[in-house]
Amino acid sequence: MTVLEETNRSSPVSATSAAILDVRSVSVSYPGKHGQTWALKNVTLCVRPAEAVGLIGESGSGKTTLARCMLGLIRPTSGQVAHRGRNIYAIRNTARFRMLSRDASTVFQDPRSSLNPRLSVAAVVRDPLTVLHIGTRRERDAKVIDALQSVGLPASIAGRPVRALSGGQLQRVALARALAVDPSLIIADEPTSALDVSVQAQVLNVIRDIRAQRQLAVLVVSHDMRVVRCLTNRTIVMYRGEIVEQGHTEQVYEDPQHPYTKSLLAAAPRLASVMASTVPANEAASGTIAPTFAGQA
Amino acid sequence: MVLTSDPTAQCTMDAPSGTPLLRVQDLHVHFPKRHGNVPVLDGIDLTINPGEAVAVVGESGCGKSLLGLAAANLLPAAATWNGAVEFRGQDVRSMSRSQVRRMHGAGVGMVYQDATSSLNPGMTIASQLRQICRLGSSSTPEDLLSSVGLQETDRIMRSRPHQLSGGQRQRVLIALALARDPALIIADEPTTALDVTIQRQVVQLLRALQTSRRFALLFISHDLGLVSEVTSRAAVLYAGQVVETGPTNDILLEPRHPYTSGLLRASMSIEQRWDRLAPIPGQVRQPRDLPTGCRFRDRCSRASDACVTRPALQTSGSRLLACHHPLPPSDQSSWTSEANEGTRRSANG
Repeated sequence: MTVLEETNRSSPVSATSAAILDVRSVSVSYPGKHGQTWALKNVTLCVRPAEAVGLIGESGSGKTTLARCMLGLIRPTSGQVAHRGRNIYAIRNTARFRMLSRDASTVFQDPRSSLNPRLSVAAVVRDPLTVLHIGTRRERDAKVIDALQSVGLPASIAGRPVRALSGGQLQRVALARALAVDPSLIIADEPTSALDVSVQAQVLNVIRDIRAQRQLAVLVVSHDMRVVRCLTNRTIVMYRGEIVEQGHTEQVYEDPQHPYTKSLLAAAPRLASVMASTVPANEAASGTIAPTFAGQA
Repeated sequence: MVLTSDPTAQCTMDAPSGTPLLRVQDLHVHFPKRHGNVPVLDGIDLTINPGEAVAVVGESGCGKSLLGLAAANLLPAAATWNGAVEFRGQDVRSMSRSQVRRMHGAGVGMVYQDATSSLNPGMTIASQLRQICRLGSSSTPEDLLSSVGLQETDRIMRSRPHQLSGGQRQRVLIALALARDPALIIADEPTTALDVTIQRQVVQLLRALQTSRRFALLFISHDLGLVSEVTSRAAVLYAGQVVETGPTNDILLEPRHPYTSGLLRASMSIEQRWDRLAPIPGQVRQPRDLPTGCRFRDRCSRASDACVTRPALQTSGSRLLACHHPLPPSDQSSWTSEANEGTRRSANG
């Protein structure tokens, strides 16, 4: 708590206090061969408690840079990022990381490269608690089991080494680790891109359940519109470092305004439309299959 | 659409006429050290005719990539195998060294999932392409690059892999596979590492090239949407066994094996935003832990006592099917009704 008090004094930024994270006209640039390269240009967004926000765009559109800015990992060239009303970049590094990692956790794309394969599952999930000095030893152990159970893993898995688990199980362990500190926000960067469809659905179900149970806010970063649509209420479309469209997820999905959003939607492989379009003419006419899919697509 | 819907022409995995380009028969692959005597590929039959596009579908760990390697006669040294793999009618076991080299050189081209790790990071694209074209190619490196839809060929020729984008690298990889005018291209998850817009472009490119250059394609993927766009025939693999195979359209429109139907439902449920997504419970087991009999039975909702014996791959209409309790034909109810239900629920909620 001392950390929070300290930050309170050091950075009086008037921001929407309701927001967990508030990004105000943030730009990030890197020096390049031909002058500055802008990774983010004048981006403004906020994530409120219990809200599910999706961030979509192709590789290189600045999604991950924005997420890293929000986690206090990249100092913006201009603009401000506020966490519960406090400008996070006005705080020195250690304090900032401590403050943010208690309240905002991260789940990365590939659990195999983000979790230490030699540790046990329990050690991986307990790690953030130990680092942040949360609870006593016994309380930590209880939290670990609790986190594992809330992502649908049996407590018996706690002693197994990380390398022995499958991709879907690992991604749940990553989720459990993110949940262990009781954050109010989880930032998930391509949480299911490394998984098969069958397992993807398992993990998406888990994320939905956790959100419902814990009143958790999530920021889902993905290039896959289907995943974003599944998990979020509000969608932000990024292109070349700028926000080109945002709105209610269904609205963006059903009635995209920006040409880039349209092309992104058209590119997503849609089984339903593929199947509808490959139905032989006579079958489509007899109405056995095609209308079912076409109606829903 | 390259899809042909003549069910009689491709009703089974057997070749309709002529010598098939590739024939895999009753292939069993073991890894004695790692998995004991459990076959990791268990009795696979697969035939690819010249110019045909065939898909192998399944989750990670089902043996898809291993089948791709076996087809190219590139199984790792730790593997022992029996059965037959014939390329252009000749058993690969009886091939002399130079024949094997010819098969690998001019017969089969491979496109791997991750272009970054399959290209040499220290060489320019030009030297990598020239290295292959020198061995005998009907096209020049520049032609190859433009045939895979790359502009600014000069700049790309001078670049090293890290200077290109993911989509460009994948295209270069395809150009390399095309260089020796192979009769068969094995594409192992060629678009998994790419984002959707680029994925779409690469798939369209593969389709266009396949029509213009008339090579046969073995397309390995877990993405059913892509599979339906690229191939005319598909084999669904579960834990090293073919569970369902036949015309891609038939299988996707009317899956009969619970596993195929499960894969489809999972995709559809995500796409259509059902209230409750429909994953297949559990995951593919390690070979040692696989159940006896039907290998899918521990994850299958239709499993019964009969499933302790292994179901044979039997003809059923236009396809082959290995299941004791297949979904009834022309009854979509099992999963489309749920699709309807799902939409209704979300409409209400």
